[in-house]
Amino acid sequence: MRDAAFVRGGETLVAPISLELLDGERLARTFSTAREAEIAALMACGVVRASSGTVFIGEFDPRIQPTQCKQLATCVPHEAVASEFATLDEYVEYRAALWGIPRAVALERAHAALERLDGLHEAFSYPLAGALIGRPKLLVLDRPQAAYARAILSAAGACAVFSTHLVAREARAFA
Amino acid sequence: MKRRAAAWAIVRARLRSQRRTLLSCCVASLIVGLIQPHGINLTHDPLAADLTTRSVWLTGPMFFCSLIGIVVASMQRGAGMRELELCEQSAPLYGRELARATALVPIVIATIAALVYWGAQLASGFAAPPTFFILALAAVEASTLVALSATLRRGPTRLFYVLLALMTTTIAYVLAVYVDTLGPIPRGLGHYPDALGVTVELLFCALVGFLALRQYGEALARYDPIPRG
Repeated sequence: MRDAAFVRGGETLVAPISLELLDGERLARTFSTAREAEIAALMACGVVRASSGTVFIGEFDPRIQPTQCKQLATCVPHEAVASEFATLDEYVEYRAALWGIPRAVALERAHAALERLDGLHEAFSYPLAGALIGRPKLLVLDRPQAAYARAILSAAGACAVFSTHLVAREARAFA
Repeated sequence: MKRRAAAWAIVRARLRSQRRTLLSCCVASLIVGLIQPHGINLTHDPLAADLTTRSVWLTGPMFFCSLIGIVVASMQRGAGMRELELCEQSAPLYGRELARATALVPIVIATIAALVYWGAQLASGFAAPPTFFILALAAVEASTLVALSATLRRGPTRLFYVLLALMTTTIAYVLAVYVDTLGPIPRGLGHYPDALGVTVELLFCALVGFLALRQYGEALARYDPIPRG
């Protein structure tokens, strides 16, 4: 990301950010508001396009090649998700269909990730396990729980991790 | 194949999430279908009788079920759907693929509601002929597709799309009821007095629906799912 900002209706929602993350690296950044943190996280994985500045995920520009960017990067939102699904398998099957991954492979990867996330509440571990089924190169975490930093980073494995935070102490746990 | 699986997954997840909405729409359709007045005033003018009959056949299902379609379409984005929305937007799918899949959900709900409405009319001893049910359904689906674009906008533009959806239903209604009365029946269609009105209305709805879905896909490809302030 180079000077990537997000402006809506004349209001700057995310001030220009510049950061670079190489394969396997980790970066945690603090933001002043939850909204700013969420938009920055969504910008980092190509879901929201920056109003100005440039964002590259691998060699791809989200404005031109959004699907390629979304194959490389995935985001885990702050809100506890997967509540729409009764079981992990249902949730993983849903995500597997969206990412075009064979069901059996997705389930195997999700259960493997879940083992490393032992101790985390389902509401937080399911989305993380679901995000990892596509073997992303970049995992973007929006305000993750610092108490589980070790388990989350262990589950992320070798992929680069970018996390947004509101408190510097929490950011240090993911740095 | 993969894309079809993704579309099916999106439809299933959203329908599961909106099962209460589906149930509420069915109940509302059932009640309105049962209590809708069926009476037609006695008239000796064949043209007036024809117009009145068509309007009684179409007014209820077309406007009420369109309203359901518009409301359900407006519910496709927002606080209740945020989880699914973020997941879908993060997936490596093109805007048009996402548009088709998400458009199917209000279409399915509106169609079921229209079928329940028709069933309620049949149960109460009155129902429009199948052709008129299809006319009503076409208008419902076209207006639902137009209303979907409102979910990607805010403020006055959002209201504009809702009004556009209501206007779609109104135009479809006018075409279905009045086109056949504008002039003599074309040669060769003597046995099918409704043919012109039916054709024009279906063509109008198909064209509006196609353009609305295409426009929704393009808007969705440019859409940024930012949290509301």
